Amino acid sequence: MTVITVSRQFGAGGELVAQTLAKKLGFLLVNREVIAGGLKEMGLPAQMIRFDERTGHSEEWEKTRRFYLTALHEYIMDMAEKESIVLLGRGGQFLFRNRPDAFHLFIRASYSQRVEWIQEINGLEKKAASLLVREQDRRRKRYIRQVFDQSWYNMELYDLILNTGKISPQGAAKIALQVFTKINQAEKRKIERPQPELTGEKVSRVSFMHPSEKEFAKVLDYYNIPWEYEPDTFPLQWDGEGRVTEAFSPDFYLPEQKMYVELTTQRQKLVWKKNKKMRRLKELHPEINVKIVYGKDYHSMLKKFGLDV
Amino acid sequence: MTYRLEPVLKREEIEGRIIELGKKLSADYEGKELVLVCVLRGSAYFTVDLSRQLTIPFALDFIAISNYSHDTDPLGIVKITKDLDTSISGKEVLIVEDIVDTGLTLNYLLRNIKTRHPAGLRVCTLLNVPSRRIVDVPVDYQGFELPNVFAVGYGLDYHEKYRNLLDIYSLIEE
Repeated sequence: MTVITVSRQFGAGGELVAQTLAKKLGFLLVNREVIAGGLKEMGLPAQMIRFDERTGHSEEWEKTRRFYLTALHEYIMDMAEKESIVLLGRGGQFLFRNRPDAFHLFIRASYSQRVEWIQEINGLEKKAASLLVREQDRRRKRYIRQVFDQSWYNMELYDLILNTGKISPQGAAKIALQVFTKINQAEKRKIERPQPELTGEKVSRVSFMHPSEKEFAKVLDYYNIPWEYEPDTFPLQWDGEGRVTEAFSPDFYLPEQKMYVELTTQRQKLVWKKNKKMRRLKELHPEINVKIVYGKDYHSMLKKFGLDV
Repeated sequence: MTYRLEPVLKREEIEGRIIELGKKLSADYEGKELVLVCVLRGSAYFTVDLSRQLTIPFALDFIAISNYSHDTDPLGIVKITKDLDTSISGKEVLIVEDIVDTGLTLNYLLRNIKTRHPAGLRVCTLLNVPSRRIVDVPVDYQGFELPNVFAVGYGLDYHEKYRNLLDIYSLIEE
């Protein structure tokens, strides 16, 4: 289902934005409470959430932390399959980076503004509030670096960045809602192909017909290229009764490149057959972009990535 | 599996082409703040030789990206293993690659470097193998376009071997 991730600087009012969005859209807000509840369901102690927020002290700790994070991510991804969610924090911008229909929001405000708000909300003196904001900023940066080995402040991760210092959290929620709704409408109209949703798939969730396809998908995942496995079938020939006698289902569709990829790792004899299908496809659908990766190309790629034995 | 090497480009050809590229780059980047970004490791050989043919000032920096391999964690993603040491914001960046084939690495690199706001961003590669392209990427300067061969030599390796060869060869399975 649809995913909105809300990443935020501490004290910028991101939680309020997330709550408003979830309420207005009727999505499930996935925050700390929901996660703790989920952990309980999985039979894990709720205190495990501490692993999410502290750095490792020992190898044992790190091992448990990794286990926790895997469970957490699985839990979140599962939820996203079943219903539409607004995910607050938890590195959502990375978990759903390969999902083209996910909407990534970043909520920020200037340091001084956030200190001022934290003072008001928590009844703190300026010095204490400043320390708290700075510490939390450091913590988040470190968490993202440790868990995802990425920079939190990479603009490429976000679809919309809002400064609540200028717009206010309520204003930001309104704007985010408008933008998200507009994008959604545009996406629905864009679908010319008979495809329900543009989602990036995961290697672990797809059964591939051939190991070469799985390997190819893993490489694409590694380089952050969203892909779909055998999403469309193109009829090529019909009989007198209008029944389809021949069809072509390309192995992959890369939504960012708007291109289908067909892997051909077999012998010359079968390559000829495939080329024939390709030509027929081009005749019927000249607007479709298909790339054939021939056996030789594919083996070179494997060689380069050290995958050949 | 045994391999043999078949010559593809001789050292003299490579040197000659690099001299031409050096002239072109010196003209195109005249008066600009050029930063050569060498993509480790294979590209080191080409970058050094290319830079020697420049008649204009330039800065040199290095970047390294993790490579996909068969023992990569299924949740692993590409990342920078050695980042640039200097800021490239406002500068004219020229990414120097040894080879562009699938376009996967270059695509990631370009996306990443764009976020740092260089004044200009172009690509110079010694070898271009367009038949293997999976992701479209721009190539502004190229040494040679090759057909679908597995190239080694002059910095390009196969499991770390052959980088030091002076010529470029095609690696062929026996």
